[in-house]
Amino acid sequence: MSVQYQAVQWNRAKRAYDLWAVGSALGWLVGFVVIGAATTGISPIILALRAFATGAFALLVLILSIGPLARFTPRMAPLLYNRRHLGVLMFLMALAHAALSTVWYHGFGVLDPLASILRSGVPFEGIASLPFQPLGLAALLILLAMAATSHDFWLRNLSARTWKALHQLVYVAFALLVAHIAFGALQASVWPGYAWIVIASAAWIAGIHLAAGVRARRADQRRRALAADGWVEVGDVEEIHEGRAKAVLVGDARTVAVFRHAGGFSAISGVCAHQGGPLAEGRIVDGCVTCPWHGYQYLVDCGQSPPPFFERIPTYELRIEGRTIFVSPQPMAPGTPIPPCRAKGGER
Amino acid sequence: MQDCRGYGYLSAVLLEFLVESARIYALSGVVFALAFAWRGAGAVDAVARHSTIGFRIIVVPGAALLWPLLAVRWWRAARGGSPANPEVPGDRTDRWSGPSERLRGRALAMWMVLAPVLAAVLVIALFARRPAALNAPDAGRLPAANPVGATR
Repeated sequence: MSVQYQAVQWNRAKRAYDLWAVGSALGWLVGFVVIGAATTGISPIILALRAFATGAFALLVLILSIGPLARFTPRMAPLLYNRRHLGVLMFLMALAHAALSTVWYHGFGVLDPLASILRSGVPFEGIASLPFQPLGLAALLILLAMAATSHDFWLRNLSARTWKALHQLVYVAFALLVAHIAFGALQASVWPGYAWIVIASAAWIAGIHLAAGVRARRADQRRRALAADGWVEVGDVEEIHEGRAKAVLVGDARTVAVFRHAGGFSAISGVCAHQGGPLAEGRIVDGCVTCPWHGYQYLVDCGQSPPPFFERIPTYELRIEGRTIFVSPQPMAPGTPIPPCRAKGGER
Repeated sequence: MQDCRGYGYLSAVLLEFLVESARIYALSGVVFALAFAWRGAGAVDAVARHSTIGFRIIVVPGAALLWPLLAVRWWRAARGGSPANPEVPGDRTDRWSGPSERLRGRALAMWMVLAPVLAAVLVIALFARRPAALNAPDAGRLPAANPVGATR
């Protein structure tokens, strides 16, 4: 966590995740070039730049799918855990594609390569000759900004608001890349399946983001209505499984995660202090609530990170009437211990 | 005034200005970033003072990209005599609690704009494809964009 900055905060799970990701990427690159060279006779350089391009785009589609899908099913949570490393890997593949393309298509003329890219598609000779390379360059600059600022140092020093706004530009980068492909490789592709893959990818990403966004907005509206006044109903005690939580919105739209642990119920802020991860979607590991995004941990009954870390998040009072749990809308000071609340007559 | 590729003189000058500006910005950024990684990071953020060599290397690309912003922060921290971002234990959820619903709303708004834009781009691109060109012997190969002999 935040005792001091390290280059990469690896643990066993994250190393396995990264090995899987890098291994898959290498497998794709080698397979693409070897099979392509054996079956098509296309130059290995061209095959390599296509392998990097298709690999990076596929990875971007995967990365953009993880967030919305995690809203619908907790099975996607393990992929969410180390998504930023996937993002850096995707950027490196995109950078390799850009470097090879620049050298191959723009590196041997009299123009400066960057000037050559910016002048591509001019003079305008119809929509099919739209300058797709500047679109790719613009997308690459966004991905560069994201990869270069993916470390926690930037989150802390750019402010959460600026950092998140910068990283939400990935949606614009995706749109630029779809346009880059549509007016570039798609115009020259002779295989009809290529067009369908691009269309399906764009429709999938746009569709799941719209669906997840509408769902989240409705949930926020419902929670805000419930939290308008007084204690907020969380639900029946049976709704929360051991080691898991339910999220509710209280007061001025603060998310609270109500956990069940060792026979009692505890409520802490539903927002991780690290990057705002959804703590209610995490689970309790070794007595600590574990954020599903990056593994930050908090003791469930006081909201403090275990030593030597110093993050603290607010806790909330609970009461159980009959079988129904209610939460106070007033947050306690971060790190305030509150004894677990238990149902009268014991829980079932 | 036009060159052989149909550019006006003004466009060529503007393009050269853009390319040179980008080059100067990038070179300045790299030089600044090396100094920032060595001394500046610790000046603007107390947590970075005792950080690892690996961290100092990994912070270089971002510092090269955002060097004007960081130069101002570093200068202010040097004038103030204390880090601009001191180590403050405790609650950091406020930075997310308020914005999280707004962030979700902004993401939804972006996709409500991007979804029709993507659809339009793909429809236009598909209709722009020339079947005759796709059947040509060299179909599938992109033309050399910067051939030897092209002039400014």
